[in-house]
Amino acid sequence: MKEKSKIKQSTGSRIFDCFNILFLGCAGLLCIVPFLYVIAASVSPLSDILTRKFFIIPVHFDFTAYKYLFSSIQLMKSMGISVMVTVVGTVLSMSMTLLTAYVLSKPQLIGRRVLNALVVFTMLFSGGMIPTYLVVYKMNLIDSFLALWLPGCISAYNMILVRTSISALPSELEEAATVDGCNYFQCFYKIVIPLIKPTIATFSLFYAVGYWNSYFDATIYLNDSSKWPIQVWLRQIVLLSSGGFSDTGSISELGYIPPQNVSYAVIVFATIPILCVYPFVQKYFTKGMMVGSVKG
Amino acid sequence: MKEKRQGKRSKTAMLISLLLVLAMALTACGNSNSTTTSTSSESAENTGTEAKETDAGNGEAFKITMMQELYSDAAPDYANNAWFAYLQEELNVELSINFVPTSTYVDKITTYIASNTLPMVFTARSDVLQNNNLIMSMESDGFWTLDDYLADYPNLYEFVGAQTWENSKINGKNYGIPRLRILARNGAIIRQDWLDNLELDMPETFDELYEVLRAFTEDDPDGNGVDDTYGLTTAYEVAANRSWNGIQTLAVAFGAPNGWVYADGEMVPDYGTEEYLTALQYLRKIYENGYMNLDFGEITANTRYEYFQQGSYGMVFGVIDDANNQQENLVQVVPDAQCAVLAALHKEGEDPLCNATAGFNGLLMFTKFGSNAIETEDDLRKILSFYDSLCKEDMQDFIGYGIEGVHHEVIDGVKTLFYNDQGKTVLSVDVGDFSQLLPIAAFTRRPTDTALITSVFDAADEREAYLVNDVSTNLKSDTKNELSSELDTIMMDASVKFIVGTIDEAGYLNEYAKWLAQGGEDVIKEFKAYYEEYIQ
Repeated sequence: MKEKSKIKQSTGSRIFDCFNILFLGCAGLLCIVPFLYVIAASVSPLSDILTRKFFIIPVHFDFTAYKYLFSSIQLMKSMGISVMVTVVGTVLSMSMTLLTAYVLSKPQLIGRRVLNALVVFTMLFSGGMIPTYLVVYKMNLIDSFLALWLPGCISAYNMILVRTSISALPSELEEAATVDGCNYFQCFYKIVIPLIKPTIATFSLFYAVGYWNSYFDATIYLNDSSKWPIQVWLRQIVLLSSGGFSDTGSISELGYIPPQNVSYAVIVFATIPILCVYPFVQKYFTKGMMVGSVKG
Repeated sequence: MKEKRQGKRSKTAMLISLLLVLAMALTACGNSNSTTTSTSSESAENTGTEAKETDAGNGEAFKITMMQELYSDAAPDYANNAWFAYLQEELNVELSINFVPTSTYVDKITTYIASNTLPMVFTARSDVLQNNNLIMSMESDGFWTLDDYLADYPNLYEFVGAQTWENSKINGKNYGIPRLRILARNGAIIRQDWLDNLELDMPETFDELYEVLRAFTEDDPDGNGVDDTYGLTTAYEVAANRSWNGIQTLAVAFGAPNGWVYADGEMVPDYGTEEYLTALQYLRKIYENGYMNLDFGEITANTRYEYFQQGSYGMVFGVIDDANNQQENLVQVVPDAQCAVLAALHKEGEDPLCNATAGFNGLLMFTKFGSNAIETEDDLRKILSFYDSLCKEDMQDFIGYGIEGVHHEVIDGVKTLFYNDQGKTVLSVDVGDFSQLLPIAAFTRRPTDTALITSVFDAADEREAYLVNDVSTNLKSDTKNELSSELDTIMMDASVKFIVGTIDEAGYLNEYAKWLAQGGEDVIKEFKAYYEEYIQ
């Protein structure tokens, strides 16, 4: 039987709560309204978009934009490529990050200070676009998906955070395991990883979003246009339909300008998958980390 | 003694190892692709050396590597395509084209230059031509100059036209084939249906235009009884837009130079001329009376088209080939709307004056350095003869209509293009954006053109006689390169403020003096020196 809290809230606290809820509610609404507009515009006919007939709820329904989208093999293929790049990239990045973080968290590692300093150095200074391109070029990775995965495989920032969370685990756990005969690999695999599941979930999400949004790298390193992820086409379509190019060639039928509803449809199409991932990862954020692992 | 762990093989372990194996497999695929590209770049070198030995035009196809900006939402699949197959077979070439989204094109060029792998032929618009890396390569002889070879390729020479070859010279030399654009491109689009409703003629003089704009605003041209119409919409947005946003169009029609002119041994910018001020005063009167959108100094170019497409404005300044696009969008909102090209404005009793564009947008440049370069003069000649053949009538027909039966059919002697389910022509799907790399006339008339498109082409033709060229098109000035954004902003802000009414004539002339002091004087001097050295 639930008892109502007998602690009386002071008026000041109540007013603060009111304002808080109102303010945060407005902020939340501000974030979500443009999103709802994009979804509504993607299912509206073109004339409604041009005359701004609707605000959030579409007045008429018109699925020509989606028909156009799904009839284009290139866009479906590039969606598949995006998914593949994200999945493989996240797995690769996460496993590399975990391995590095585990090693760097061990206080008995020789040269630990130097290695950590080097990692921080790469976080602060970067080679720039052209030197990075030259490195990738010399390694013959141009036009290969490895050029999207390898150069940014381990994000120094993420790695440092994972390392910190591994260091936060009580050393008694690993000592107990070592006493029972575990070597480093088994410790890592059977003790550390299950305990930092929320961390893994969080950073996997960060990596996944990063790979999903990768657009510039794809255009610089991938020459073959059939290998581009959907973000490249998304940007192209949105820029074209909003008239971002002042010269689209001579007046001939060879220049197709996608109408605005197509650009909204592509935005929805390219955003939905990554949105769908979040609910599955959400539960790991809220699960407790080390409930009852260290006794006494 | 270690106990054998009877641990259950967790599914996650399997999943992770499976994904890693998948990753390896995919990287193997990726690797094989990368090796083919690296071998293709090597084979480009090899074909280069082989081509030296075989006779030009005979034997195996000459391989050309190309690169261009992608302006559409799909890249043509040129490896499996009837159009490309025919093109390559007919002209005995093998094409390898790299499409780059236009937003990252300049960065891609920079990386290619840095890694010495620039393809043989590539498109270079003004932002590429102003890129420092490209300029440095140009100055260290990294690109072929075409002046000595053009005499041997008459088709190509005449297709572009002597004036455009002149306009597109850099440092006095031709560095590439210019891509033609309509010269008389700047103008305005006007609502013909409103003119008809109010029984007004197409305005041609400034007074007539003023009257029309007043009528559009006050006399309810759309007949709905509500005072919701305005005369003119335009946008300032950035200084570079002044060529089409109305200020320069009007100024030139009043008699000002188009940007710059060389007269009586002096280089004259249009800002300080009488006629330019007259144009500003004209716009100021229109603004004061509310005949144009009051936010023109703040909105973007796209917004002004949106205003026009919503049907509340009667006229919009812009490039005349946008007329068709505006019409198509406008009828979605106002089904009876009819757009027309505004007549070329002129002073009472005189000929019209139209501000011309440069006549080209970018060059097709030919690389001389790096591993993918055009190695010898012979190879360059092969590519030039490829372009020369493309300028002949039969190939131009092929570019415009494709293969009979596949891309078009002949009905009653008229070539009609096939359309696919998405509403695009089969030809445009096959060719895609490759037209950027082809020599194409500034405009091509088709039998299927609507009345509006025909009127646009007619206007382009007629106005050729009245064009005023911008002398500074291919002049170089270091001060201008360094300070152009500040200098342009001073004068354009001054123009906008004058129109809006914040400053008056004296204030405008003050700004002009400021412009001269802050670098305008140097630009004038440098332009004059450059002009006298290279052009005269």
